[in-house]
Amino acid sequence: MHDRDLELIARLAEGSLDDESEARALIASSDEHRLEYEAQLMAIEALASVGPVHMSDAEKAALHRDVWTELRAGTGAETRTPWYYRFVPVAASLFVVVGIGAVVVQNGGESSDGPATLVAAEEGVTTTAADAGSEELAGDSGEDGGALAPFASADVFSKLADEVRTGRISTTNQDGSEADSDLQSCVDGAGLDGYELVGPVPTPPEIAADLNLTLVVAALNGDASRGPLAFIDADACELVYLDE
Amino acid sequence: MTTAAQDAELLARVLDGDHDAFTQIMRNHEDRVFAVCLRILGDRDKALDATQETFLTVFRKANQFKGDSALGTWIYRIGVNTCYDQLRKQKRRKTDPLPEHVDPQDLGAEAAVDSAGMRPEIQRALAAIPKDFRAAIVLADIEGLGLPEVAKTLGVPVGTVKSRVFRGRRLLAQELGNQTT
Repeated sequence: MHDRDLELIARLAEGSLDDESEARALIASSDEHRLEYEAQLMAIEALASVGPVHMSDAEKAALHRDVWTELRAGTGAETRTPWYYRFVPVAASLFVVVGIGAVVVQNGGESSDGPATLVAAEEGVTTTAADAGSEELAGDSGEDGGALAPFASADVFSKLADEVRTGRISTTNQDGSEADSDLQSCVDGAGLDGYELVGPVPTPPEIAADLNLTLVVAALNGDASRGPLAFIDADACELVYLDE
Repeated sequence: MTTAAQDAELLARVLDGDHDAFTQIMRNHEDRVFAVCLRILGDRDKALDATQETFLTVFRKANQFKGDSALGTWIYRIGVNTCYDQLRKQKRRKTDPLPEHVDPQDLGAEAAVDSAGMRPEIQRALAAIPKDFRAAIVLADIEGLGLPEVAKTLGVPVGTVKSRVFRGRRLLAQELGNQTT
């Protein structure tokens, strides 16, 4: 079913359409559309019956106590710090470099460890400076409860989708064979009607660092050159990202 | 419900080291964070853990809030991500061998029946659909957020949210239908 038809039917079930005539005609046009409408209605009515939930006063008190206990244990509040704090690790590393340099000079520059040590120290500086500069990005790379920040992963998948559409990424197996056709049932299991399995795609390194995913891509009517692409976790048969 | 200006002022005070301001932020948003986590995770204890983790992350990352969305939206995004992470950890743990007396197929159902505010069959159906669809339905259809706010919370385009909500409802209906047959 096309997304537009699905949206019309869903909004009719919600009661949010100003003009229902097109949606009603669509429902009357086929059993598929009628059944979709009934499914939307069933879900909406079930969800409307869900009542509010609240934390009890005791649970709230425990939440506040536990949060402050953990924060006071020193796991770090990133409040505003003086600007020079960011350079303390770099400054410390420079002291190390200077100190090692002084030792090397004292020894007449003949220490077999000297150059390697200096290189290592420089690398330490570089790494530390990079770490200092990357602190702001750390939260975006997956420290929100350990999960990926959604904007970061959305950009990564959008780029991957472009590469699939333009053929810059292969969607066959490493040995050149086509994707396992059983994975089509995985696509269906992810709730993607009308989508056909295209093939496996490599998990982008930005995501592979945090998640162990086996990704496949599916396209509407199997056409990966345009239109929406669905990236699916082939192990769980769950939609990971839909690039429209 | 606090205004954006009130939240912004509280956050500024948090960044200046005012801990009472952070306690107030927790008070303003804890019920909704907990509700979202409970609907996604289907287990009260796990939802309480996820709520705690959410606010710890909010405090630690307070200086990274850019103000391009409401503070509440940013907090709920962290909450959803925290829940996703819990679900991933749960999934990995499910590959560990189970004691003989535990039926693996009942793990999700037992957690679902434990939730408050939802008929058990609805919670079971919700627990059975993929988490991305579940989160979209929870935010849009249960918590009543508008689709643009759901999109900002989940970090996806509005079109993707619509697809997840509409297809998620269909999956939910299928699960509910399967339970009655």
